[in-house]
Amino acid sequence: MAGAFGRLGYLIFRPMKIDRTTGTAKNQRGGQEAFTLIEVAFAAAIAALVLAGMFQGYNLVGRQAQYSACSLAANTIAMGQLEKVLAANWVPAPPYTNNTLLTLSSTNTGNLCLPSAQGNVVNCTTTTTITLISSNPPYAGILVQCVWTLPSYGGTYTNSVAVLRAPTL
Amino acid sequence: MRMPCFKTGTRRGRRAFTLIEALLASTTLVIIIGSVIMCNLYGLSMAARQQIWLSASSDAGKAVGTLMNDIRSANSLYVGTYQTNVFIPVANNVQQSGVALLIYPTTNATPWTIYYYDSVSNNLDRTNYYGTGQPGDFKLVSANPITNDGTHAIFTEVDYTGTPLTTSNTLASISIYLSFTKLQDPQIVIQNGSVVDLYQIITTVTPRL
Repeated sequence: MAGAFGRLGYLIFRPMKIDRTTGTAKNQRGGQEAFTLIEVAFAAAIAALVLAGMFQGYNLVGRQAQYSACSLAANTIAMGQLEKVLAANWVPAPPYTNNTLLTLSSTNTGNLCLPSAQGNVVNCTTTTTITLISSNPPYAGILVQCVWTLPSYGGTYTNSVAVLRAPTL
Repeated sequence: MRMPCFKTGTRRGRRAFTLIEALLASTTLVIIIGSVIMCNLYGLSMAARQQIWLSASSDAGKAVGTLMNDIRSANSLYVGTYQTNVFIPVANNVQQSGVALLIYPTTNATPWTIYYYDSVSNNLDRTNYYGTGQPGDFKLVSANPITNDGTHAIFTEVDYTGTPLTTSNTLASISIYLSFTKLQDPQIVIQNGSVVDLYQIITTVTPRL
């Protein structure tokens, strides 16, 4: 292999000289030993692993922190939408019949309430689904889902809040 | 005359590093130390960013949680202004928006809770009153100061579509708009060119009665 690389290859891949009397490695420098290529390679690999581990650790912590902030903001958005829908009238029985609540299924887009700079906001899509679960006794299920994408790291996540609601008294 | 040559201290049998070795070793050292420093600087920048997001989220969570608890348990509520310890509700036939919110948790005149914008400290404050001789409470709703720039009122009575009401409804949904001007931890002024130039919380809470 050393031949293929010429003089440099010889310097890198040259065989280690062994002292036949002691069996120890020995090079040409008056009995002093240098690191072999394998040792240097292993040391570099270990250093690279340590650095990669540090980088990955920082990255993981950053991702979790960002996810936590986004998730809390998405939950606030979903709760806000749920609270609005809860205020709608729903009187299913005559003589006064108002089924406004059941017509409020919708999809809206917006931004998560997070600190941002230069318009780098986190977009989200909020879907409201209202289902008449039972007519007698009457109660409806309200499900609000906030779908958002984690900035920088990617990945789409959904925060859901749901509640059962009885008719307006 | 031939002088004897004293070679005490000479490096007989020993060799120093060659230039190539020294250069390679120092380059490797620089690369490794540089990588470690860059890695730690990256971690530091991530930490600063996380501190902004997590601190803001924590503060927002506490503020919205406090508001939700009070508004949800309201028996009646009014939007208006609060000046010199006097609450003035918004008149009818105008948009029910203001910088203060009065909440009665029962049908009685006491106890009550008031949220109001303090124009001196630019904070949203909360105070309450339980009756004569009973200690009330006073606290900041959010540690971060907010603005009352007039584009959005802090409290607005809205219907189920989010449309502002023009007639007072004592059990209306309350739209809350908090536009922050500064973060306290870390100390960041929210303005153009800053690390953060926009931070708003907009949500709605409905009384449960």
